[in-house]
Amino acid sequence: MLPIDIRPDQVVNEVLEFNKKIGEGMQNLLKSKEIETGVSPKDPVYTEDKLVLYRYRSPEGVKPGPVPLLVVYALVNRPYMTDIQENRSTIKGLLEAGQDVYLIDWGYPDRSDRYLTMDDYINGYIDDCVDFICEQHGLDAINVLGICQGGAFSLCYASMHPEKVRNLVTMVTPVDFQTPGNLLSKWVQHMDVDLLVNTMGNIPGELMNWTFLSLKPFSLTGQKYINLVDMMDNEDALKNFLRMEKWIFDSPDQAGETFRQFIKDFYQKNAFLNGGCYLGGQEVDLGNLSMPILNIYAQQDHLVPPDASKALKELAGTSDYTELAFPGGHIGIYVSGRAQKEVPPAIGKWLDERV
Amino acid sequence: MSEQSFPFWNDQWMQIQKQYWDSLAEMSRKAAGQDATDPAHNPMMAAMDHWWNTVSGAAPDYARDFLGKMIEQGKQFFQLGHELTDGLKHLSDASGSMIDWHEQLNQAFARLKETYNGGTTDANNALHNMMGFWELPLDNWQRTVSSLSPVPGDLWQNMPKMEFDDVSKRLHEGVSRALSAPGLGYTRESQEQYQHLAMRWMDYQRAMQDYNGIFAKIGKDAIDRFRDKLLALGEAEKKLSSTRDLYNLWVDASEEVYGEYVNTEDYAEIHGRLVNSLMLYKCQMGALMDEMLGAMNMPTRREIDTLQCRQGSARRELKALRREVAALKKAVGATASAEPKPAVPRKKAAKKATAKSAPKSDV
Repeated sequence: MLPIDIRPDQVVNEVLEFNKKIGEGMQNLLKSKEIETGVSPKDPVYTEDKLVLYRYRSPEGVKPGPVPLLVVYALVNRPYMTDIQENRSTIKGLLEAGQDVYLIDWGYPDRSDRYLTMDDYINGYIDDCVDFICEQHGLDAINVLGICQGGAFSLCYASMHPEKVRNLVTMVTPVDFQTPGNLLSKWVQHMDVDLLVNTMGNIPGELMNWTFLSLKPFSLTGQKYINLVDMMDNEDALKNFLRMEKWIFDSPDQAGETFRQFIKDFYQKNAFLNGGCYLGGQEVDLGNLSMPILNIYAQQDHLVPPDASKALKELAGTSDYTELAFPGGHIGIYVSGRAQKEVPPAIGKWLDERV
Repeated sequence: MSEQSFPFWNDQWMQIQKQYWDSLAEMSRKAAGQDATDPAHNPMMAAMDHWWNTVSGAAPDYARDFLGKMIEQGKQFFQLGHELTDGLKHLSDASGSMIDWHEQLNQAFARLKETYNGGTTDANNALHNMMGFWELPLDNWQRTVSSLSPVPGDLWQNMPKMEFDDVSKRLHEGVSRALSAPGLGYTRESQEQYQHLAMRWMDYQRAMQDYNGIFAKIGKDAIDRFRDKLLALGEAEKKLSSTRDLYNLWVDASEEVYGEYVNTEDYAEIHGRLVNSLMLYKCQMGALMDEMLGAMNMPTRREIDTLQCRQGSARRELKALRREVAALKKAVGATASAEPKPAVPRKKAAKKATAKSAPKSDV
């Protein structure tokens, strides 16, 4: 049987419908001029260089638990993904689950930050934030939640300062960087990272965007915009799309030295598994992770495949290790409706059981 | 803004547009018996262009680019629909046997493939626009390069293919020999720097050609995969009844083939070479720029890098010292608070000790 049954008049109708939707959607597009992100109320409590540490306000009627939770986001893209809109906010869910939430906003590095190293970020900035929170709360240790690259940083930090991390939660965090489906890892094997950093200084956000879009170029730079036409008449759906679009292209440059070490140690040498990642002269050893760990991964993650995260189980030194598999992708784990219902409450419950 | 002043949601405008499209449909029906396969005269595409040109002026600047992306994709997917339905229009007259439609489908895809291979003659410019879909990753790269360097990423894109190959070949085989010749005289050093720059630009172009080559293969294989998927649908007695369905299948086929290619060692090698050669070129350009800045007594990139590096080290040392001082203060405080409290006030005890000729160390 002929598999195509499309008459010319049908095509004409589709074209007309397509243009009509764009026309109608324009009104909504104009209304959406300002794209707001980061919806939960928060206060800056500590700053250092371009870093700002925020503390979120607990919702009325919710008494936060005694041990605060520090969220460490990736350097790639911006942390407002975790609080992107009212009904899609991991942060809001954590607050409602009774967590006292702090978040590190790394800011936008410029050329003056080109020589910031991974040691500066991990044993410097993260450690300073942890010390600050500990001092404010009169505690020796707090809970840490690391996301994606921020998860890898949190693993490094917790393995070097286990006495300051009471419980560790990792979300979509790469541990084994060379699993078979990891395209990013494959692509950087032949890249001269030293030449790249020495030439560029910082790594431009545009280059990062190109790399991520190249993972699925036809869907991410073509089909997506066709699908958008169908939702343009829905003001809320259009705003959701625009927020995501803003987040995707809001890519800070990466501090050169940190990028150099991160790519070489992890993507090229797979250092969590093979060793060889040194920070401040000390080798990172995940065997030092003695605190309870909750490792959350997304089953359809194309950036950090599940096996890349699950490798933590065999490497961590803790006897209290829990895994949570979420049926979604790398972004869906923060923004999907299902994630709102499942992920933050699960984190809250797991932490509460370990106060 | 009032509704009437803006053509996007003006009912009257939509009505006029509907009439325009209806006449087009009528025209298409009338033309069905004629040879309407010349893609350059695709009425859908022409109308889409016309519509967009008319209304885009009313779109605000910040939305124009965004809408342009949608229109571009829209054009590509309607072009696809037009090409295939046009290619298959004689099918309704066919006997309806399996062989007939297989054969028709194969012929339609052979034409697509031929166009894809054929370059950019006037006759198939419009169809080439559709094939531009497979150039999306390349287009992304060129945009990225443009943002990283003063040279536009698509500098050589519009050069006719044969001419480009010829220039490229000559550059690599002949000109590279000339560029390798040692410089002479007082300007020897700077001459050599510019020779290096030219060599590196050629290396980048060669890497870019290889990268293009991969996407040419992806494009061809994606056409085959698309055809296979359609054949499989037909054999499963399923039908695609809209251009959108057809487009989605096309995207699936392209993404599938792309995924297979980019997961190979060959691709990783070419990708690495592309990035590395661009960086070598840019690095050399930076060195020349520094030479010029130095000549004008301006700070150079290299000098600023050195300063930033030293400043970073100094900050690290300062921070370490602060931590050490804090730790020492804490230790001193702990020692002080750990000292046993004297049974009597210090002053009195001191007096007593003095009276008893206590040893000097006891303070």
